[in-house]
Amino acid sequence: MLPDDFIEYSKRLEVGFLGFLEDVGPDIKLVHFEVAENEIIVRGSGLKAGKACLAFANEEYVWASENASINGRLEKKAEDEYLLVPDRAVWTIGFDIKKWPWRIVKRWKR
Amino acid sequence: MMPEELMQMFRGVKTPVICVVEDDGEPHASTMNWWYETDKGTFFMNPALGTKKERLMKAGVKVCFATMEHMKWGNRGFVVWGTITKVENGFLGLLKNLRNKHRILVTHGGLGLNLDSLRFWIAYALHRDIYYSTLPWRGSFVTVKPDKMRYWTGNGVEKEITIG
Repeated sequence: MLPDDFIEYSKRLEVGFLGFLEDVGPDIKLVHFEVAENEIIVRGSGLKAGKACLAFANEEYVWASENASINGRLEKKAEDEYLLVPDRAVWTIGFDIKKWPWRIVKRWKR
Repeated sequence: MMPEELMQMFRGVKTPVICVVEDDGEPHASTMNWWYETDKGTFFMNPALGTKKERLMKAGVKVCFATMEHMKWGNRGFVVWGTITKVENGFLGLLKNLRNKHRILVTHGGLGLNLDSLRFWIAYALHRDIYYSTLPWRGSFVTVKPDKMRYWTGNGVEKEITIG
């Protein structure tokens, strides 16, 4: 079950980058996504079932950067709609550079 | 030759890219800072030494990276499919790539080489959550030659070019 704080975190970020492997190398599709407890709904065209990695980020660099990546298995649900069943996730937490950051990275594994 | 609208995008879009490489049969995606080297027609990236992306990004490896300005739908953006042509490391790598390092941090990142940057490097070097260091000399300097690009000009138009 994905942690609640990660689900809330994901709601702040808009554009999903779905990475997967083709015969000729890695590929990325830009997708809409919605994170739930056990799965992530991914909407976009030209997707295919299999191993995938969804990443999303804000536009900041270094200490203000928020970015996440979730590895899992993509399963077709409907036309242009898939479920990403996550195996593991990692996400960074932006922090105030004037204070010592107690957390920078969080990780989750099924 | 790179179209002028793409060159404008490289100068104007400062949002990091999401870069995907293969990791033992699985895709590995991570956020990367970038710079387009106009004179060489290549992209420059600077992963921290010891990270998974740094271990995976070797010369000859295929990569795909993408961004959308401000990470908001409807803005300008691009996807690049390319090949890593050069990787340099350590102090010597830093010396050879100082100009690009400065461009990534200051011109693109809007950061100064100041006390805040020093605090950031120290936090990442010492923090329990982090297993790598972002100290400038603990970096990898990666050059990517683009093979193909797809881009959006911000008005809903999608274009694609192949680079010879």
